[in-house]
Amino acid sequence: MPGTALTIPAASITGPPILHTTANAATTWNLDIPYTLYADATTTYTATAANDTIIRYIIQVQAAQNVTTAWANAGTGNGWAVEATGVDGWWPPTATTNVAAVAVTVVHGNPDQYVWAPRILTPAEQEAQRVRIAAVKEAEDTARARAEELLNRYLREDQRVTLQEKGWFLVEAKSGTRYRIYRGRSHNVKLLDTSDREVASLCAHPKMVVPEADTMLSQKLMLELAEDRFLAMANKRHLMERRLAA
Amino acid sequence: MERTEGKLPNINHDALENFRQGRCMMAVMNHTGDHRLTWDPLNEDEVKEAREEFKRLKKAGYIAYRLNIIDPEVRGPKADTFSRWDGEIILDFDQLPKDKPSEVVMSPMMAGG
Repeated sequence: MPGTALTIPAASITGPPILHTTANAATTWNLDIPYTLYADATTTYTATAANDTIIRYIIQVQAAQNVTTAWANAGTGNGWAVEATGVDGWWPPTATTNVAAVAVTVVHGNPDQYVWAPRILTPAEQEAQRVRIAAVKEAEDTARARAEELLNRYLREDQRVTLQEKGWFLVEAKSGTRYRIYRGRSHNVKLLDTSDREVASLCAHPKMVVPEADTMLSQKLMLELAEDRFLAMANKRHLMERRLAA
Repeated sequence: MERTEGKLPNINHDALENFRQGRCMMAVMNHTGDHRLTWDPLNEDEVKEAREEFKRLKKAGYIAYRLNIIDPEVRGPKADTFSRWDGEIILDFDQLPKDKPSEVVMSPMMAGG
């Protein structure tokens, strides 16, 4: 069913970045920000605004009784369901039947003021934040310790010693080529020449973010058991040429 | 720096214990370090569970390294439990030996940095 086109002229937006104004579609609505528009959903609506002033939009629908469509996923009309959110400045939904109402909330304003404005936490919020940070740190420590244990499981005694004392261990591939693996994730593998000088830096690591020791074990296993595969994917940086150039 | 020899933990104790008990082990690296699954290669239910986990991880792009366990009682007391090159990349769970325990390390998909 053809409906009313509602155009939101961004140019008329004034005032502080966050206001709460509700305007009914049937009325002449004022463009304080943000605004919420309620309307009869048997009509098709179009809301537009300048992209550069929209921080986000939220489209909610309220289902009519006994609605089972996925679109109106509030189900029986007892509540509002978020249909879509985003940061695009264009909202072209088509509400047909079986929808009791549609609400559109568009937040305009200066993103710096709205999104990043600092807020002083209440003591309760500070405590909750402290607990969250402590839990994350504990989980990270546990993961790190577990990964270290797994790495050490597959290192020889001499490798364990140099890792603990110097932060690296040597790996010898089946080709006879030797590599030094340092702690780290990126460019931490060094290709050695016959005099054990580092001649190139190699970078290949698990795509997934894993603890440092897991990364080193992945690199060790691939160098020992699939050296060609490692070299084919690794980003290589020659170190000797740099030294000579310097 | 103080010499740490002798102070390092007996890291491969678990590996030997599993080996002597005839159990296989799969260590799966992830953001929590890793999780480990052990199974008896002669127990069909446990093998089935391990095979399903293996398939799931391979589908997710993991690389499977099979590593042979070496018992110091066989190779001598100073032998390392896992020697270099004594393993291979496997693509299928059934490449694991059925008559002896082995360890598998599942490493996430690698990429050049």
